[in-house]
Amino acid sequence: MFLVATGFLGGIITAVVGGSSIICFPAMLAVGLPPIVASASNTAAVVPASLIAAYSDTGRAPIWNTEVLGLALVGFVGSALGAMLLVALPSAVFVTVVPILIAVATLLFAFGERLKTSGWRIGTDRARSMTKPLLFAPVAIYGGYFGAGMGVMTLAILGLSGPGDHRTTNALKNLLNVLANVVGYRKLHRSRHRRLAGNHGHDGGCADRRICRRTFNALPAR
Amino acid sequence: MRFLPADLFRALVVGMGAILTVVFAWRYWSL
Repeated sequence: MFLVATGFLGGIITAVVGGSSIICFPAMLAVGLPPIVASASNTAAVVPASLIAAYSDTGRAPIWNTEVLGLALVGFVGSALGAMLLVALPSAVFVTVVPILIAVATLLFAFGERLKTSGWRIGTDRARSMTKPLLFAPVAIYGGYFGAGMGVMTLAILGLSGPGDHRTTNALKNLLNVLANVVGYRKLHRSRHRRLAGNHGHDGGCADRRICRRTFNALPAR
Repeated sequence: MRFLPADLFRALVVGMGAILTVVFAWRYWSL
């Protein structure tokens, strides 16, 4: 019951801003899972929530053009590489770099607009299409490696390299996170964690469309 | 998302990023 409730809240947070791991990850640690298993379970849990969120904002849903296909391909390959790194690297590396990566992404997102206006803008549409997947590659690797905070990282990269408004950017972020996290799903081994995954998508993701406003009010208190 | 102003969205993302950074740093670096 504890995991089901956590999955519901996590689904809403995933669909809106990302970062559901802030409640799901500690919840799974609290019931006794080791960090890497909790990470893999969280990765699987956000897949349905992100997919529904990507296509729930009608009119801003991602269109499968060359740019999105390029990002998707990079996301798939990068996540596979990240998942291999997770297995290969010692746990000391695993736990040390995560806060640093999230902090860098947050700063990039916060100051991305200023960077763009001071020379980081990628001028033409063609240049953007080619550069975006390259910028997204390290994020995709991280997605397969750990995943927590990947939403913030994806938004930071898309914000830097794209002209889109926040709804379009967030919809694309949700789609890319689905693709990256599908690779991470292979890391899921224990069937009992699928209770969290199922609830996460079917309740949390769908509820997002109806109760967004309530979520925004609730988030700061959490 | 359709009801969410851009400024509030940015604030939520930055806030969530900050929370994630602090929580994971506290969780892992204090071990």
